[in-house]
Amino acid sequence: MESSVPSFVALWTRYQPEVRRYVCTLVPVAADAEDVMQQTAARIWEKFEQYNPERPFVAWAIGFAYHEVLSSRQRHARDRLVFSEDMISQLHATLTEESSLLELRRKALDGCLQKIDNRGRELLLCRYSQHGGVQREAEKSKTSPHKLYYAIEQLRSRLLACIDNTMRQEGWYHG
Amino acid sequence: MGEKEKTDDLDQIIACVVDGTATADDMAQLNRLLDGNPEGQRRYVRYMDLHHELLERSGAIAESPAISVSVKESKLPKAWIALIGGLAASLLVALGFAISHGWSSGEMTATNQFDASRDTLLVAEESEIGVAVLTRAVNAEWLGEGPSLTGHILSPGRLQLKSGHIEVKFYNGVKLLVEGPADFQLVSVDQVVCHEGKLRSIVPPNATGFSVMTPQFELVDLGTEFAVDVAKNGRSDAHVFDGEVELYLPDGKREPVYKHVLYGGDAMAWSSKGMASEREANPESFSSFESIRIREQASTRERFRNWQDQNRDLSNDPRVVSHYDFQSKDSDLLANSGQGSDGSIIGCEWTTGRWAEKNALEFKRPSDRVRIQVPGEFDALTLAAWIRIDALPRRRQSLLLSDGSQSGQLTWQISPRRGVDFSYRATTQEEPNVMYRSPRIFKGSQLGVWNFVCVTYDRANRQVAHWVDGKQISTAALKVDQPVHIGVAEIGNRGVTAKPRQRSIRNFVGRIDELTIWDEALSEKEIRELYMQSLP
Repeated sequence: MESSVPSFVALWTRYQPEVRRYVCTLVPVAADAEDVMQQTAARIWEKFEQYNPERPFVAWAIGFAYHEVLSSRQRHARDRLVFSEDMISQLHATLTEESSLLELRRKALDGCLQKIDNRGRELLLCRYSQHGGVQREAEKSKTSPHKLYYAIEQLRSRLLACIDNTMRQEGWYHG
Repeated sequence: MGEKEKTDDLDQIIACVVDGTATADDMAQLNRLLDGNPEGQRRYVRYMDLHHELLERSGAIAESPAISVSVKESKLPKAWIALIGGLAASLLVALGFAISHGWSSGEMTATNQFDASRDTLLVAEESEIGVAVLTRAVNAEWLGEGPSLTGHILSPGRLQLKSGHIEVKFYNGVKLLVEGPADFQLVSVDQVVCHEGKLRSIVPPNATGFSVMTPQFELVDLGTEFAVDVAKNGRSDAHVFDGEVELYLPDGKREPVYKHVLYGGDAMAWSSKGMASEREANPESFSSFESIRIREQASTRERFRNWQDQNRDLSNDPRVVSHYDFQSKDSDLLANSGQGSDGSIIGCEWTTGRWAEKNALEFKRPSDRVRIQVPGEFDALTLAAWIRIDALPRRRQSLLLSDGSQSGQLTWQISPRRGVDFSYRATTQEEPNVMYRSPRIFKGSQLGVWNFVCVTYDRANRQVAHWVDGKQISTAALKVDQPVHIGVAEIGNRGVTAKPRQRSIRNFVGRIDELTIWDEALSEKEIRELYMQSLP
């Protein structure tokens, strides 16, 4: 009996990256987003009995996450970088609409990363894989971290443009 | 504002958010930009998703701490293979190490790892916080980056003075005179580490406890004037001219057993092997604050004369289209020694420029502006100005903006991201506004400091370059190859439209004391020389 129902741990382990992407988009400050993730996990754990395994887990979990994002906003509204409540609900709607396409965009990223030259990939690795990587790289190559961050910003914009292009070629976007 | 520009502005703010440098103002602006704007929201959502995908592929996003799944494997995450592709083997090794280190470390919890990837970014930004101001500089030459203009804010960090003298004033009032060659480190408002060189210091009574760490000793000041001299081989002296200092071992513990007190007139000398012996203080072997003040005055006068010479040369340079030296203090007209007419001053008050003898216009109110007219069409162009930025609001600030929007008309502005943007109207429909952005240049710590900004447009070599203080900041290949022209334009503001309509504020906040336009793209050497011959 128990084995036929997926456990909380199995589901959460599998899908929490999805939930995290959602939360981090609505709560751009990492520490606050982490808070929300913990609260969300706790809430889902409490209510797990009510979960209907026939429904998609992510959608169910995001319901809790949305609620936690709003209450985190109220806690931090005065001193943190937060979106307005109205903005959160607008972004929630946009995210819901976009979610299936986002999955495809991530696939398109593979090809787009190949189009970035070595120096660009090296920079992305510094930024995304190493703690303080950009700072170290700046010291090593005797340049300012600002310049590197700017270059990384340009790389992200290029990747976005490339992904947009791929999606358009595959017929997902019009115009 | 074109669509492209709008997306760029949005991307910039999102980048600040993901890179941890956003302020509350940025966040408010992001809110405004996205509110009721589905296209912008999609852009934001896609941007954030890309950011998280990159994070996730790198393994920097940890498992949720709520169910701490420990990750012990120390292998390169599979998804990075696409990213690594053709990277050099050496990098792979370095990276493999970094990741395996991060992932296998037992003490590093999942949460820490996640936060750490962002916190360091915040620290990188905040390290701009200063501890001292450069108050004088005489012939100062640095190894690597170093402050050259008085008023520069100094952050904690290492400075290597190749030659010359500088005077620094810490925020707690401690005055420090450094004689090159010197290799030293500003640690905080009350500590300096001296690896090599001569330092002289006056510590006011309210800043006692100021310490200088050297390879042989730590000197803790009790309100006085003293100097230290550290030679490359480790031989070091401490001289006390007035008051009292305590000397300790250089281990930072300040153990009372090893305390040695020196009074005014005393000195202590260490051999390179660490043998100490008492001496008499010798003030003559160090430059005095007074001598630096006098030398600085002399060199300031000399630099002003250099500028006057340069100014005369510019008036005779046939390549100069317009040259405004901001020196004749007329309340209505800004004199132009090039072709074209004088500028009309609207608002703007006369004030002091780079030197006491130099005049400048102060741009403060949104109405302040100078209207100019620059005839001609250009295949090459250099715009250069000495500016003192007094505020960096999150909006564009005009340096020079053509009126109207005919093809070829240009804009030269400080961008909300604190870089410089150069753009012109193109004839083509696809990209009506051709924009060349520099990376971020100006920091909060540079407010109130004179900077020499320059942009070159060069059709023959098909490039646009941004320059600051004689150095090239960025170059870009020409996106749309066509002549540009200035026509009727404004310095420090955006032009007036025939029909009154609501437009965003673009006024420059600060001072300008020179602006020159050449019909040629000056070379690196020329720009460097212009800067060197006109720096305050």
